[in-house]
Amino acid sequence: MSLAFSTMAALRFGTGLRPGEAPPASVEELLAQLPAGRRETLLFPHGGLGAARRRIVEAADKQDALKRANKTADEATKRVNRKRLMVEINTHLSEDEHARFMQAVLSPNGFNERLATFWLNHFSVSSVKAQFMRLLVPVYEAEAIRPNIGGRFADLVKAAVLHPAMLIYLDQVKSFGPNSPQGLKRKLGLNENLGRELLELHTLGAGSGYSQADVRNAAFVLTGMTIDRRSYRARYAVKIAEPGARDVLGRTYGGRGRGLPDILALIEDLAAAPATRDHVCRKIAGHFLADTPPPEVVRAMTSAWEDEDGDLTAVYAAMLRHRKSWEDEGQKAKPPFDYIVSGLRALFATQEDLQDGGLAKHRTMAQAADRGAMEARATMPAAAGDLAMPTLRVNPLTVQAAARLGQPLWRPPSPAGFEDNFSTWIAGGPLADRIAWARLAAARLGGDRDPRDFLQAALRDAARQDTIDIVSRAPSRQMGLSLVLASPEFNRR
Amino acid sequence: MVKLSMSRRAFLTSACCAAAAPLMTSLTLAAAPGDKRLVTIILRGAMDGLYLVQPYADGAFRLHRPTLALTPESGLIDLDGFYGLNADAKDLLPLWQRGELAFVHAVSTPYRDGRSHFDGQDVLESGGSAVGEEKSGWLNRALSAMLSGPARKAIDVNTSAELLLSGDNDVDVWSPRTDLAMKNDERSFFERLYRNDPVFAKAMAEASLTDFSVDELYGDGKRGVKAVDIARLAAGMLMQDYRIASFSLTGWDTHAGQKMAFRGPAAELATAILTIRSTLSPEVWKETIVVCITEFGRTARENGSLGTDHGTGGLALIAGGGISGGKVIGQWPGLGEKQLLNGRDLMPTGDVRELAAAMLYRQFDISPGSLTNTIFPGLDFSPSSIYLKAV
Repeated sequence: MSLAFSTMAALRFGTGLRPGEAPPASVEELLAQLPAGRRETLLFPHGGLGAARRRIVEAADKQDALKRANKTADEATKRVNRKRLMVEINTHLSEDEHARFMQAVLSPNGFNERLATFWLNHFSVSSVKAQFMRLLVPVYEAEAIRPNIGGRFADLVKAAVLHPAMLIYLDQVKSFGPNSPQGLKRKLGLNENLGRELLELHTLGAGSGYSQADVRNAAFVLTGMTIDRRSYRARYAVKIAEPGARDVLGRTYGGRGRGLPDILALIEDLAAAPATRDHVCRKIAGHFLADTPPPEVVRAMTSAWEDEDGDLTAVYAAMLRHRKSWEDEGQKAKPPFDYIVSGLRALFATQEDLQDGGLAKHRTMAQAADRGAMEARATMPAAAGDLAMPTLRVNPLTVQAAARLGQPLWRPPSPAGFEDNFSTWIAGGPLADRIAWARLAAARLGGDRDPRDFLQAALRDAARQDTIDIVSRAPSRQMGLSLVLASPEFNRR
Repeated sequence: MVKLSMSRRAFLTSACCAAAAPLMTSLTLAAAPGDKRLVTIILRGAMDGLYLVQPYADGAFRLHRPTLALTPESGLIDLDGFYGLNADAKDLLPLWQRGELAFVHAVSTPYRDGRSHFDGQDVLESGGSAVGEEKSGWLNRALSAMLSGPARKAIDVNTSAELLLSGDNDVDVWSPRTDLAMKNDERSFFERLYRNDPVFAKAMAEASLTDFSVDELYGDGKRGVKAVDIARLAAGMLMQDYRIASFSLTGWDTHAGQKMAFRGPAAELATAILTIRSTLSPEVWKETIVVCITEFGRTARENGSLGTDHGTGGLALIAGGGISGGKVIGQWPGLGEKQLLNGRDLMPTGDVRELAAAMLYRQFDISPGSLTNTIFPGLDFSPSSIYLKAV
């Protein structure tokens, strides 16, 4: 081991060092962050899960009322009504995005936070898929991902894949058994999207030997799974489930009837497949250790998986207990979210520093709806009105910065999630953007810190001598602090 | 990631801090001539092709669109006796007259009769035949097929790589707002900070070089994120080593009050194309093709809100100094009740992917085999494509 255990634990397996917070001193302390994280009161969705769930139902009611009112309203009123609901929903999303950054920066359980972000990316959903996704995605992370990242993989798959956010994101809500009662009556058919991604991204992995017939049959087994449009909760509707038995990878699901147990059995079987084990363990190790992780560590993880029935804590433990996991520091580049979070932790950012900028009046609705226009892949309704609507100003150090650095929160470019390799994040344009962030963060939060002390606090023994030399020769405090945050060691882990 | 030639890198380390503008300019020009360029502009939100290029001579058109259909008498700019250009994009007319602009009507991706922007854009950018089928962007896969030739570079002028250009091949992403904005002494500190870490040193060299040319491009002007800024940046990069650029224009989702709502996006589109042309040298403009594509068209009929809803068949634009434009390409399906797709959408008679494949073939000599196997799996394309013959 070249670096101190606690430095590696904080940098490689955590969210970085934060003054006043003792980094984990042992593998056991790292693992203890999982149950400790579960006991934390999450800072998002704002107001708690219950409030977020109520907001969804209220928004659905408002949308219904709007539809009724719009039958008789004139054009201008309709437009105003639609916009008002959209701005309200966007404002809630913005609040949750800020709170999500607070959670990552302020939580003392960095390993748990890292795993939450990793699994969120593995089971990617996007807040721009549909209007209600803006309310559902924060809820998804809080109720489907986080409570399950320390348990059995199969349970995590069930929670994530059968959550309304995923059912909407991957079009399961548009999938109907063509021979189901509703399918026959309304001439509706199968949508393979969730079936495909369940095999390709969530479990087995691309190129692991399944066929298009397996994809299609998995999609057939999944029919019936949909959401309730009032409560936005998942439900099983037998009227849209394709009848009859279907084979996936040589196993038969369903017979004369079909039900939720068939879906759960399919997920159990996929989760237990050797290909899934290999795919997922390689991805975890690839996230924490190196773009191409040491095969012996991956082997240790897969055998722990096998021995412990896919218990993820056992898999993490196997990785953390392997000597090779503590060698060759700095092989990975921090993705933008983690870079920002670790920088804010090093700067000891407070909850106040991480807040949104309060309400702003926008000149036109288009500006309000299209906040960060070039940053969003979202398509917003065109600028039609000239109505001033208040929306939240976005914090340039967190929510706005993540989008600018290429990793907008809860908006991955595809179901495969954000990239997790070195060359995506460390290139000319992205580095220039990181330097700009480092300078802004140093200017806003640097205060009168001594850059040499800051370097020591942020990187401890990971700071290289040449970096120490340059930082100590910086022409100003602010420049010195920027250099620390922009340094190769601070971008690597 | 951008690969710099040795001479450029040597130049950078020796002269980055001096006032080296003339030298930089000449070096850039030396690296550029003769090479083909491609710009893709994604019109996000579903651009109403029937509104931009109106089939005013089709009798059914006016019946479908009592308020939105225009005629040459009411301000439409006649193009060929059948189609007319919406005056919101009148700035494009000189290009059309010079034969540097063509329209392709009634095209769509294989995503047909679907209504989701999200899914439509997924298919448009990934180049698959269905949602989710391909995980990377077709333009990124095209880079693989081009790597046998001299080193090519792509830039995504945005804040995060769009799906169109994302994938295994490294691309650089540069936003008009990306700005090192530092004095030379400050910059030298960062260069020293990265000196002993080769990957970071290389990224910093790229950043400095790009920043330097962007500074040149903008002068002291404000760096905005409007169409003109992005187009200028894209063209500026294409004047250097970059060969492919991609960016998006938004605001096309005109469900209501389309007459007003269309005006801004249409003017921006015209500005973007004209800015690319004016920023490039005439020689480079001759080697450049700009393709503008959208996820789907809009309904043949206008709706009760004086707008249009999500449809299928749409319109693409091709511009470039070397094309033989001045024409509307594609088979017109007609707008009669039976000719519409499901009684509501313009029936697609061409595949946007074939158009894109044709432009890749024309610009970069990518083999039809690569185009139909890896870049657009399952696409029917051959060098006798109408899109190659037409322009």
